[in-house]
Amino acid sequence: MLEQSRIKLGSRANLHVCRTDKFKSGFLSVNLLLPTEKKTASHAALLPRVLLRGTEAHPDLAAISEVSDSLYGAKISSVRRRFGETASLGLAAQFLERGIPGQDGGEIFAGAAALLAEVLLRPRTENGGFFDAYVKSESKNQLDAVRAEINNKTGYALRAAIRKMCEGEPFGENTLGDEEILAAITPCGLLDFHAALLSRAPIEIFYIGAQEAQTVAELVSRELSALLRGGAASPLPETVFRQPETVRRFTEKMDVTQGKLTLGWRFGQSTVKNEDAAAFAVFNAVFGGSLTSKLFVNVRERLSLCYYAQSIADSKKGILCAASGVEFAKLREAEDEILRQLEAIKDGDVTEEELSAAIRSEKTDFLTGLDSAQGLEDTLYSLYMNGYSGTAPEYAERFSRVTRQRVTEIARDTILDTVFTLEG
Amino acid sequence: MEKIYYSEIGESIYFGRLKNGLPVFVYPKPGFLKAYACFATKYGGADRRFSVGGALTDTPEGVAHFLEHKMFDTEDGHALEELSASGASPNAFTSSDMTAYHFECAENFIENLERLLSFVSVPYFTPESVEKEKGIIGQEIAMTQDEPEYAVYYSFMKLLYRTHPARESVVGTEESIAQITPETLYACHGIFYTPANMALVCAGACDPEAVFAAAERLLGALPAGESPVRDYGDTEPLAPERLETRIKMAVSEPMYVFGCALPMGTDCGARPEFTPAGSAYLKYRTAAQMALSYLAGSSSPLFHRLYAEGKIKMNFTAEFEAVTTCRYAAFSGTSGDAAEVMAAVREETARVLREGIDAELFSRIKKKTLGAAVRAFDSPENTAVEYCSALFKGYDLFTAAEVQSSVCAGDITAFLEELSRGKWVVSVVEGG
Repeated sequence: MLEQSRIKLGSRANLHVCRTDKFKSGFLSVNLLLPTEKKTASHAALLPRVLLRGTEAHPDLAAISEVSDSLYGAKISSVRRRFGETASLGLAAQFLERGIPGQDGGEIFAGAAALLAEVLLRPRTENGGFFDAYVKSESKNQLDAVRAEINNKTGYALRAAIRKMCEGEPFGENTLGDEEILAAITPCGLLDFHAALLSRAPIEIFYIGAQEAQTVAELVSRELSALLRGGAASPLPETVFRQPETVRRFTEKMDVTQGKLTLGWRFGQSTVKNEDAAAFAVFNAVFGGSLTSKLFVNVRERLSLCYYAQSIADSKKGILCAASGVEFAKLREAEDEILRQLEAIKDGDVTEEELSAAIRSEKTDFLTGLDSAQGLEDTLYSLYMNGYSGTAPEYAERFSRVTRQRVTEIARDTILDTVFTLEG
Repeated sequence: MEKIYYSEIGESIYFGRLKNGLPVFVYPKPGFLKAYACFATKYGGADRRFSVGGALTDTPEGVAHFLEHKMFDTEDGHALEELSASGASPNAFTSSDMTAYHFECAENFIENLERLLSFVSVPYFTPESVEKEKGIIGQEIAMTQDEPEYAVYYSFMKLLYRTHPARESVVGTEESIAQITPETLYACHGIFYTPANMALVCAGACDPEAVFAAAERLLGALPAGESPVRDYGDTEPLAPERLETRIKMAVSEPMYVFGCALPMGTDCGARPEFTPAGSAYLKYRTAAQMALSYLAGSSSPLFHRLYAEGKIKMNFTAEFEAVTTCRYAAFSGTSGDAAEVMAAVREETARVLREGIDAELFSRIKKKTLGAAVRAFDSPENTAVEYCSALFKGYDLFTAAEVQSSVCAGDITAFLEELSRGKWVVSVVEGG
């Protein structure tokens, strides 16, 4: 059973309820949408850390722990997502709704929702700002997180490549924040950011679990009444498109044993606006996003050029990246081969088997993602932000309708923008 | 198949055994779209010396992992691609004590299951493909050398243990994998990939009888085999020669693991089945996990104090680990002064032992632990893998919640006393 509904709560909030009894856990998230901007990215990165430190009623971690432990380990955490140039900043509660004999799931849900609302709306403050010690220590932690990005070379190489490629566009901002701005954030400045966000941001609330939609709506409206009161929502930014003129090459030196090669392409604006996300997903699965993809089968397995070679396509922003781990001596050869694989798709060299395997792979990933409360929420949120209004299981059929021609057309509409390498 | 109902958690699992002894477990999840299968052998990176029928075999580091990579080759092609083309997301992993092949899919489950059972049970290696794989795994070894988590963990293990093979990397080294031949792989497959040493666990949208029938069709004719006797070397003295290692790597902040070895277990060569020793181990493990959670987990006063003082981050963890016969407590985190945090944990251990267990905190830890155990059932894939791993250690995962509720304050102090007697070591990776 999976009953989806959407309820308007005031002028700028939607409550999306997906009622199901297949999980023991429930999931509730409250997400605020804002433009990605250099001046606020660091505030957005820091805010959830400070919120999670303490509230008016539960001023420190020990006090918050007492509440969450007594709710069988209900967990409040921050969830940050991006949809093109729009950032989503949220808090999520994961809690047990079923499976403990003699325990009422509704009570645990109510307790978890109240705790989430408290953390989001009634933080610990002093002198017109957030509690000073929390801002200081969390700024340091966030600064460490910015610097810690290099510890995972694979992830770092991909994100650094995207930042280079989209430099000057909001999408190219480091969502972890900027060292200088982070260091300069004050408790009052952060509280102002918090207040502005709460009063103007569009709000998307998701609930996945066993409660009735009406029960959820009543409870959420009550707990979040201070948030839902505000006026009109701030507008969200349009996606920025750029037409690359020449291929830009960047090389970064680091103490690594294995080289990292990342290629970045842009899709044409009209394709991005007219194609369905499912078509991009299938194209990506043919190119490098699956175990039957051209990059996996040819570049990794057949030619052994890379330890890993995979692609990701962001249909909202309209970019495609191929990321790989390569011996230093083979960087050029790997690049040529990756480009050759994309050319093959442009030439229509996509077999029936490759296409149907890609479709199956995307469909499987999509459907299996619906089997966890968190995965279901994330999928519903993405679909909603992509303008889809049907149910999630119905959406799975869209992958099956993608043709070879559409895959070829999407490939033909790519323009190479950036080649980024990480070398020793 | 036999249905086993666990009233404590309200869950059921189906169990059957093929005539050759292979255990098959199915955990159906109503309402789920995906089905998940895990076919595993109790054979990991630490199982390097073993004997069957008295004949001792000694293998280089990295064979179990190399074999895992090569099993996907079939006479007609590549199982990973075939499974993927048929709508499954297949993968495999090798740890120090097991190798598991698994996939999930939303359609054609039985057909995909047959593929899985077939490629894992039928080896096909050629000298050319084995040579080629050395290049691929060589790249994987290079990649792990760039991962600080990897370096900090293995240098911790090397401090704890002098000779036990769990101290060596599962992937091996370039030199060790150079010695691997198709014959090595065929021999190890023959010894470890037998019904006596394997298990099949499925979960999610699948029918128990259909799974059992598929297992019988594909594996019913296999000879039973015998579970090999593992040799993990000399008895470990648990007296570290060195107490600290520091490694320089490109990291932004120090990363550390500290802790101590606990008395060795006796998990040698047992078949995959539930045993009294396994139940005793589950009790010990549960008490250990709860004691560490009480002592230094995210609900503990120590965690809150160290966090407020900026000495640890949210990523600080206190875990009980068991790899073959090795059992140890590992505390890991980043930044800060590892030695100072270690001293604080040891002082806190002494304080708790001196002042006794706080009943209110203990009851919260119990609730939190129970909640986590029940929530874990929401993930068919984790449940299946954990079930398998538990079976290889001789205990029944579905009894864990019941065991949790039986843990008392005395069990916590008994474990903390063991900790306080341990020889503590610290491994750090730092920039520079």
